Amino acid sequence: MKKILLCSDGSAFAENTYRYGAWFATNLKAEEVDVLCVTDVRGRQASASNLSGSIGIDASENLLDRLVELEHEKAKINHQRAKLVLQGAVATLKAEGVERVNSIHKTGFLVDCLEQFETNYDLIVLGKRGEAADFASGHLGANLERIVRSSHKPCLVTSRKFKPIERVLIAYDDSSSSQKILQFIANSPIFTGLELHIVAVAKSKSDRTAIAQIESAKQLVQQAGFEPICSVIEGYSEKAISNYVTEQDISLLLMGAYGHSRIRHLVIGSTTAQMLRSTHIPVLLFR
Amino acid sequence: MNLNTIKRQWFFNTKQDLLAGAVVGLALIPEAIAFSIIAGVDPKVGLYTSFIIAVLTAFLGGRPGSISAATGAMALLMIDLVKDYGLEYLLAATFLTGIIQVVFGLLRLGRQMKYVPRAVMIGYINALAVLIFLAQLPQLTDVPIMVYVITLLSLAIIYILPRFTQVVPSPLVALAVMTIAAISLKLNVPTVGDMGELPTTLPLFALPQVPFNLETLQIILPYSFTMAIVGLLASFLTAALVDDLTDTPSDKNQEAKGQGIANIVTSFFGGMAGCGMIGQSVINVQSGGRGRLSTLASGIFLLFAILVMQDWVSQMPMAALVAVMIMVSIGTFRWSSFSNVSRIPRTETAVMLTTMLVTIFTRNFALGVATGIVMSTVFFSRKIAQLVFVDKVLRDDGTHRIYKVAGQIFFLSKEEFLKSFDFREVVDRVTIDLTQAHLWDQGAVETVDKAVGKFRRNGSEVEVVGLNQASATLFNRLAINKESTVLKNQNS
Repeated sequence: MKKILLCSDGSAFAENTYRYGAWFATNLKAEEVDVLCVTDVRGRQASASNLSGSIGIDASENLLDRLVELEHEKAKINHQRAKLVLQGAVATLKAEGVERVNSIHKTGFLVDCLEQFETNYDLIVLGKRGEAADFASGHLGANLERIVRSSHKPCLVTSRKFKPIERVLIAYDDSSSSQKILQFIANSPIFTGLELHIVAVAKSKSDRTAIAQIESAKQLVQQAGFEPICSVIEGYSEKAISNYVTEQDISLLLMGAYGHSRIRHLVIGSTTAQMLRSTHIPVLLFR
Repeated sequence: MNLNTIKRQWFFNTKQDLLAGAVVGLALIPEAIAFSIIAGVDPKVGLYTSFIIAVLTAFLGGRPGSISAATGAMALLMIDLVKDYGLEYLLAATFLTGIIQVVFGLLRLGRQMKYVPRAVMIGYINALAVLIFLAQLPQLTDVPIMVYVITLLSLAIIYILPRFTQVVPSPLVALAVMTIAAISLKLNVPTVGDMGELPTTLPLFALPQVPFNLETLQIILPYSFTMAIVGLLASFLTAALVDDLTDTPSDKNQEAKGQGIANIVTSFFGGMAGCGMIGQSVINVQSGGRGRLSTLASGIFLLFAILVMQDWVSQMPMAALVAVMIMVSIGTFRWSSFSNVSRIPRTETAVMLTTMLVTIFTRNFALGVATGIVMSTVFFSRKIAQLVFVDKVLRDDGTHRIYKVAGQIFFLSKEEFLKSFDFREVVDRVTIDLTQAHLWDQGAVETVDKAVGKFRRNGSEVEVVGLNQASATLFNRLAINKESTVLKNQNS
């Protein structure tokens, strides 16, 4: 009874988003994948650029007519485009072996749409950056952070390159979202047969609490039939984890999303956002 | 989250907003000066007002992309106050206007805009356009011939230049060309500098210098109340217009609060009351402005331009300003309300014309709009009252008459309703079937009651059937003949 929502906008990330989506659908034994394409209303707005500042007879009516005409044409093109994107997505997903694929087309803001949608789904898949990437400050997509923040479901943020998933890393910190990760792994067949790493970041390698935590995590996972490679590493979480990812050639990272307070986030940004920025592999975020 | 909201509201259209803001800001200069002159105060009052209101409504207004500043609608209302009591009382009245508007916003009266019919709105807009035009006439009477020449040349530039290029604001080009011509040719025509003081500094904070007592309140309250209503009406109208143009929603109550706060603040900086501007908002959207940034930019460009160019502005010929205002009045007027007159229902044209003429002759927008609303209501209820259909069926060998009534029955329906019954007819039984009808008020019950009474006097047994729940409750409470009337609900 698993359902996956895949958000697409036809950008460079889209193709790999589909492939990751398909991988998860197959391995989660998801019964349905819905592809959502949201046409941004901003893209539809006609850019009237008559700077003459001169208004003639029935100025507002004429302007309204012109804007309606312009936006009508633009919206038509956008809808056509969304249709093509969705068709492409459905075709790719079907080719990857997903049987039931639906497409949904909405207009507005992705974040607002997602709020109504997410309750029906078990996993949300989206690309790290979208077509509106020029809007974004830093290196994350304009929509991504808000979606991940507001979503209550696991979110898979896909990277630009697709790599078959072989080694999975859990960034473990004993928070409630970390518990959710372990539950998720124990309850679903998704990672069976893959190499599983669990890592906790602490100030020093001999940190007792960290070792105890990781031991309990290990036991939980072992009960589910995995043989995880566990370790405690030193340093700042962002750096330490991304180093570990490169060294061990990890292909999927699981972590809790936005554990820290908003105040901290305002000052230095959250660990999650930095991780998303610095890693080049897909990240599955839990709340 | 907040950062993202700010980005979404302010910086989604940055370049276009700044450009449009510049165009509007420069276009606001002649208007602010002209409206100050209408109100009878120094040009600097209007210019400060426009700056402060534009900047504050950019942050606090409920309609991103609409332009608010010193306006003709408000200036026309304050003429007498300024003439009789002076500028300080105007500032106090402006303060009170703002308070009233904030209260309106808090009471969520923005929703009640829907009670102003479209015909009344158009009448209001037309009256506004005509009054702006009329306010220019003093500048065009008893003046040297050169004034007419400048006005006509300016109008020619304003309307013809956009056919060649839409990159530069044509009203501004007209002003610049005419100013340079007036200076270099040493033309002896009235200039802006002749009209009063121009701003030389940023606006300064000061309390209105009036005695804070009941007498003052008595003087300013009527003005403030009218200004508050008219200002909100104009601002809501502007908001609705921008809603239509940009196909996005606005928050009317926030708009009321924003306008109110802007007026309160402007009164402390020596400004007059302002409100939403229809013409300028159209110019803003036409130039590509969509967000709050465009409104903010217009205010800042306005003040910047006036401080930098004050020497030039004071030598601007009034005739060129008049031309700009004529353009605004032409652009604001709804010509289609006259050119399409054959297609518009006659009652609506009557409402529009009444609103327009009452406003023009009394110079009071509130009165014009109130008249228009009353007229539309009367016309509407008359139309609804006429939509009562009565179907007559004779049964049982002519001894049983059934009247099937359909429509809305209320106080106005009396005559139409009673006319459709034949009370003289000799039948044993009469059934009045109200399944398709609704009784709305005492008047309706009285009418049905009267019909029942008349039939009974004629010796018939009367039955009223098919009342819906609401109508039945009303009937039971109010009817006199109910004991002797057989009431039947068709469902029961």
